[in-house]
Amino acid sequence: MKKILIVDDTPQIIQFLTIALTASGYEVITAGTASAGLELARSRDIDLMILDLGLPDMNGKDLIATLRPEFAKPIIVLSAHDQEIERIMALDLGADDFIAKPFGIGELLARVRVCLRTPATNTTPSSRLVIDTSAHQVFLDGAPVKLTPKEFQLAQYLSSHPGKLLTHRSILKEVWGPAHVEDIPYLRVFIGQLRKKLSLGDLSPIQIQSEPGIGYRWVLRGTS
Amino acid sequence: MPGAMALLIVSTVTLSLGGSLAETDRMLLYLLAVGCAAWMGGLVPGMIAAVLAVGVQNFLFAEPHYTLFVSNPRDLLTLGVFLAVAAAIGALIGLLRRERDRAFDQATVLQLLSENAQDLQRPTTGEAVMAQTAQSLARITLEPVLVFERLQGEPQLLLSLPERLAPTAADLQAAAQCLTYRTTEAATASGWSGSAFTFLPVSGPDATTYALGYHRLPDAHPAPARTAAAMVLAEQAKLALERLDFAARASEEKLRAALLASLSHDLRTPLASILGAATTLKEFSGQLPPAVQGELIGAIEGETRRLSSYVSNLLQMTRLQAGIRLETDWVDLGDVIGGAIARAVQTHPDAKITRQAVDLPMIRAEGALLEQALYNLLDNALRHTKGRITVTAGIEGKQLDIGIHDQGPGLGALGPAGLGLRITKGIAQALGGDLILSDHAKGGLSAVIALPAPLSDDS
Repeated sequence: MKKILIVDDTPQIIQFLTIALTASGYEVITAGTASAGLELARSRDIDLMILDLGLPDMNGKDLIATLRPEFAKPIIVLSAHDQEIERIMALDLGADDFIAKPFGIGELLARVRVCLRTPATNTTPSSRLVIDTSAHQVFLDGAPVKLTPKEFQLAQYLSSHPGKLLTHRSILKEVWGPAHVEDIPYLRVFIGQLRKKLSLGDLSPIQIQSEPGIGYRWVLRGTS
Repeated sequence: MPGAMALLIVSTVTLSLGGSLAETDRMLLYLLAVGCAAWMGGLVPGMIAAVLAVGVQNFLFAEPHYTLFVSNPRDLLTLGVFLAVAAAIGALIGLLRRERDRAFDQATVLQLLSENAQDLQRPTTGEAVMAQTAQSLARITLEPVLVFERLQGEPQLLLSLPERLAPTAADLQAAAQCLTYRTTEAATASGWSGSAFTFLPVSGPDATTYALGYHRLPDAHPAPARTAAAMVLAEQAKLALERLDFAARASEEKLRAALLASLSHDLRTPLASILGAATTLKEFSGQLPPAVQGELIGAIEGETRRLSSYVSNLLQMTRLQAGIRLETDWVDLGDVIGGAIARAVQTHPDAKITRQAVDLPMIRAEGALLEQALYNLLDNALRHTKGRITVTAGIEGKQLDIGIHDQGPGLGALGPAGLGLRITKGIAQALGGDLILSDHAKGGLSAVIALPAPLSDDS
C-alpha cells in the first residue's frame, strides 16, 4: 500500500483528503505544521507528499528546499490561484506538480496516480507515435518525421515524463542548458513546431498541454 | 560710538604725555584708534573716526591750538595725508570686519539649517513638522515667528514664538493672502501700516497649506543670509510634509495588501474544504460508511457557515465604506450578545464561552451589525486559543463597554489585522464608539467595544 503524507494546516482539508485517499486504497499520514511534516517525511517511508504552500510555521518553498536533498519521492503542492510566483518557485525547487485551490477530489487523485506511476511503465503507449531514442527517430503512423536535434530532445524529454508538469525553466535547462533557463519565448516557438510536426491537436491521443505561466505537460489522453 | 571712545582715550594719552611724544608717534596712535573703531563698528564708523581724528588733531595740535583754523600750510598737508591714510585704513578694516561677520553669520545659518534638516526626520505629523520649522526659523532670524494653517477657508493660528504673541489683523490678512494664493507675502517696510511679518507658503502634497511667518529683520542685521535661510526652511518643511505623506501612503498600501491576502485566504480556504468534501462524497458515496459521510456533510455545513460569515463581513465593509446610514433601533444588548455567542458555537463546536453580563440595558444600535462585530471578536479569540473566553458588558460613566477576553497569546500574536477585526473597528466607529485591543492583566487579549452609553431617560 502506497503511503501518502498530507501537510496542511486546515483540518477540514485534511479530513476530506484523508477520507478520499483512504477510500482509494492509499495509506494516509497527516501533519498540521511544516516541522511535523518534515519530521514525518524523514522518519517514515513515504511514497508521496501533498503539501500546502501556506503553512503557519514555515514557508512551503523553504520546506521543499530543506527536504529535497534527502527526499526523492514526488511532492504535490496545494496552492491558491494568486500564488503563481510561489507555485513556480515551488516547482523549480523540486515539487512535482501543483493543484490550485479549490479543487475537486477527482483532479487530485489523477495527479496522485500520475506521480506514483513507476518510470518503467512510462513508454509511449500510442500506436501512432513512436519515439525511438536509440535511433534518434520519430515515427508518426509508421512514417518517419523530420525533427531538428533540439525538437527531438524536447519531444524525448517531455514524453519521458507523461502527465507530469514540467516548468519552463526545467525544460529549458534540460534541453538547451543552464544558460537558457529564461528563454521562454524560444521554448514556446519549439513547442509550436513540435505540435505541428507531430500533429498534436486538441483531439489527438497525445497532447502537449500548456500551464500558462508555469510550463508544459505531456498528456496521454484517457490515462490521466 | 567705539570710534569716539578710542579717539578720546588716544587724545587723553597724547595730551598727558605732552611734548615727550613725537608727532609721528602721535599720528600712529590716532591711526590705531581709527583702526579700532573700524574693527568694532564697521565701515561707516571707521570713516567717521578717520574724519574725527583729523578734526581732533587739528584742534589740539595744529597751530593755532584749540581752533579748527590751520595757520601753517605744512600742517595742512600733514593733516590731509593723515586723512587719506586713516580713511583708507578705516575702510579696509571696516570691510574686512563686514566680510568676517558675514562669513560667521553664514556659517551659523548653515549650521542651523543642517540641524533643522536632521530634526525634521523625527516629526510624524504635519503640525510637528511646522513646530520644528518654526523653532528653527526663530533661532535663525532671532525674531518672532507665526505659523498659520487653513481651517475651513480661514487662517487659523497654529503656533507662535514667543508663545504669548498674538497676531494683529494685518498679520491675519497677510497670512490669508499667503494661504489663498500660495505666494510669499513680504512684510511692509518699518513704519508703514500692514503686517510686520513675511509669510512664506508651505504646502504638503495633500490639500494642507501652512503660512510660515517671521518678523521683519532689523536693518543692522546681515539680512540676506537669513532671508534666504527662511526660504530654505520653508522648502525643507515642504519636503518633510511630502515624506510624511509618502510614508502614510506606503503603510496604507501595505495594510491593503495584507488585508487582500487575508481576505483571499479567508474566502478560499472554506471554498476548498467545501468543494473537496462535496466531490469526495460524490466520488466515493457508495464506499463510505454513513458515519464518514456524516463527517463530510458536517464539514460542508460548518465551512459554508464560515464562508457565509465572511461574505456578510465583506458586505458590511462595503456598506460602511460606502458611508450608508445605519438603521439603528432599540435593541436588547443581552440578545445581541447571545446571538453572537450562538453563532460562534456553531462555527467552533468546542468553544468554551462564559458570559459575565447581567442586567444589560437596551441600546440604540443596528442589531445585526453589532452582532457581527461581537461574532468577529469571538471568532478571532477562538482561532487563537482553545482556552475559556469571557464576555463582559457594563456601563462605566458615559461609556458602555462590551469586552471579549481570551487566554491566548495576546496582542503580539495578532499580526496584520484581518478582515474581521477591521470590520469590527469600523462597526464600532459607525456606532459612535471604538474598538480597543489590549493585553489582559492575567494574560490573553482583551478586545473591548466601547460605545456611548444610552441616556437613562431615553431607555
